[in-house]
Amino acid sequence: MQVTVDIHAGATAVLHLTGQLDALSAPYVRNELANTVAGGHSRLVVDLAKVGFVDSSGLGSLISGLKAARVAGGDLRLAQPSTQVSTVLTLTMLERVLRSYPTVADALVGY
Amino acid sequence: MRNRGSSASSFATARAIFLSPHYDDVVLSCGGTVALLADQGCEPIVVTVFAGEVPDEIITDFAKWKHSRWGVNSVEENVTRRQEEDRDAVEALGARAHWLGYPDAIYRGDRYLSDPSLFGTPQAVETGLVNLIADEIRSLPEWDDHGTVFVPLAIGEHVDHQIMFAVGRLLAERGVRVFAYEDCPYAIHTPAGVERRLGEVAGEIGPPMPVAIGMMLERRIEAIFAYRSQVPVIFRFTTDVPGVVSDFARKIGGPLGPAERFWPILGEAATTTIGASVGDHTRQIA
Repeated sequence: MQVTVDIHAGATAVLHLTGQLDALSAPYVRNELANTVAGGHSRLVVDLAKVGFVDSSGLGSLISGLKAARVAGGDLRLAQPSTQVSTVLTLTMLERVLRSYPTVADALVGY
Repeated sequence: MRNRGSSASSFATARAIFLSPHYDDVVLSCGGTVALLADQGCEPIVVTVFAGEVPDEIITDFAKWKHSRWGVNSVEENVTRRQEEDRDAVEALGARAHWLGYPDAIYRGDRYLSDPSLFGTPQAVETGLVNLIADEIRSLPEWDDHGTVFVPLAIGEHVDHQIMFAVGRLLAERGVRVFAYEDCPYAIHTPAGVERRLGEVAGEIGPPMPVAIGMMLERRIEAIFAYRSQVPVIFRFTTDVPGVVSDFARKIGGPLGPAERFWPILGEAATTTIGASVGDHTRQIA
């Protein structure tokens, strides 16, 4: 799993993930999200265009990031989730809090 | 018909993975066997599947009511407390705890909004969860193709237990060695529920296997009490938790002494030979 962070205006950051978001990579992603919020960027967009697979541990890292962002007064949005990711979100009913957008640009609107 | 019974060595296996729908199910139901396998060097792992956290903003009134019964104020508080208890309980048996991130049924939105629905038929859409969970279990770093998986029989009919039994059935169909354990305390306080569930899954499971747990019964009881937030609620039907757990284990074991009971889950390959296997078993124990 690779994570690159693009800092945008204000307290906004886009994290581009590449790889599988699973039990092995979840701790790393959790830390990256926490560090980004700790660095003063609590309005997060997680770009999943290059993530073909997520499991429940991966979901947990996103929920953790969402919590950290909300505590800091921000939010976490998902961009470009694959069909597999969208299916997992729907089956677990976590799409109610992990909102998805077709593109990063769409996710940034309103931030 | 006399049960010959088995020892934990019947599960002689490179790796034992116990699947617990919620934080306490495995320890409550078969903690003695977990301890025995740990003693034998099998390095058992107890995987709690529906251990995920969700933001409090989306939990229902039904979930809040459950929280009030457990004495917690939030999902985070609930999860934190239960993970602490689970780690204490599982490690006391010599095993390791692992938690997946699937939300508990009470956190899955409006799918289950009452106890009757929670202990009824799983929503049809949740069949997809069965495949997801089975795949994730097989992807665990601890997975061993020659290992043994344990799932709840789903006595008591909690939807999460039913989903986990279905996971076991799917794994068995894929050639994995899977056994169902006897969900406690459901089996203890509602014996009719055992017979009802056995009737529902007849044809999918083999003959029962009581496993003698001997002195590990005490380890199981001690581990049960590690679930401090849960014991008063789930054992509200008795003032003598050690007594009812011991009495039940001795009833199951009979001449074996205290025991825990398991049923092999039959895969498709075994289904075609179920008649022969049942017949062989009868001849052996006649």
